[in-house]
Amino acid sequence: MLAPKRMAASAPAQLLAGFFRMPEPERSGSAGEWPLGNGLATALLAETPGKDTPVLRDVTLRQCA
Amino acid sequence: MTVAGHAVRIRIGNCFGTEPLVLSGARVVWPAGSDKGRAPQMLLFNGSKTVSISPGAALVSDPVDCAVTAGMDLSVALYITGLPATLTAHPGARATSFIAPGNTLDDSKAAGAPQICTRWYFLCGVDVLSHSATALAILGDSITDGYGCSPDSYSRWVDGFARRLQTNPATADVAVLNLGIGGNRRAGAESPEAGRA
Repeated sequence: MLAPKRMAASAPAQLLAGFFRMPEPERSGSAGEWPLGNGLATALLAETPGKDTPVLRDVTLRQCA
Repeated sequence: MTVAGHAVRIRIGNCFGTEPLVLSGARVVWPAGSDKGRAPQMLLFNGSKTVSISPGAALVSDPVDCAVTAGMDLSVALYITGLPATLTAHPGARATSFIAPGNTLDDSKAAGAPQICTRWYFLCGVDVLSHSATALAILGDSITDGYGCSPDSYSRWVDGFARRLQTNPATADVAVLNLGIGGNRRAGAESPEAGRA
């Protein structure tokens, strides 16, 4: 029987770990007051600007969440 | 937003940047139906309008009281003055974002048509304060991320699942967090654009 292949931590697992351990400013409310009742979360990736990337310096970016 | 609550804060991330991300202002426009109507409100970070987010870091805004319900949309505007070379983005957001030159946080200063894209940049999430809510974090690939869904249609299977939870009083306080990444695989080869595996 083959030994199971050892797998590296998955990206979603890393993302989740990061999500729940994000640094929080001291005056942004105590962490204990904010349970897992989050309205929205999104997985983020690294993007190296290319031809399809909008110029984001000195702009106002409006996003809907 | 997928859950009701009485205060909101915004998460902004410079997770992949190697230089600071500098915001010289941020504002939300509350959703119609909230207790603040569609009023705009400036966001603060530790009491400051300007914030520099270090490479690899993410910050939350100071919380703002506002009663919201599940299914409401929140508009988040960021005036970006310092930009890292590598951006922190969600390319499969399937939500329309608007980009205007200069500081147009005050709508009266907007001139001309903004550039449009269907990605999210730097926006990690929206936290809704609720004393009774729990959350489901859903992992997956493009099927979960929303491949094939039109922008702003909220027709991902995760969206439908969240709406279904809302219809049942027993699960109406369950937030649904879509952490899907198109192309991502839990193990094995993957494209660099699809996240680390």
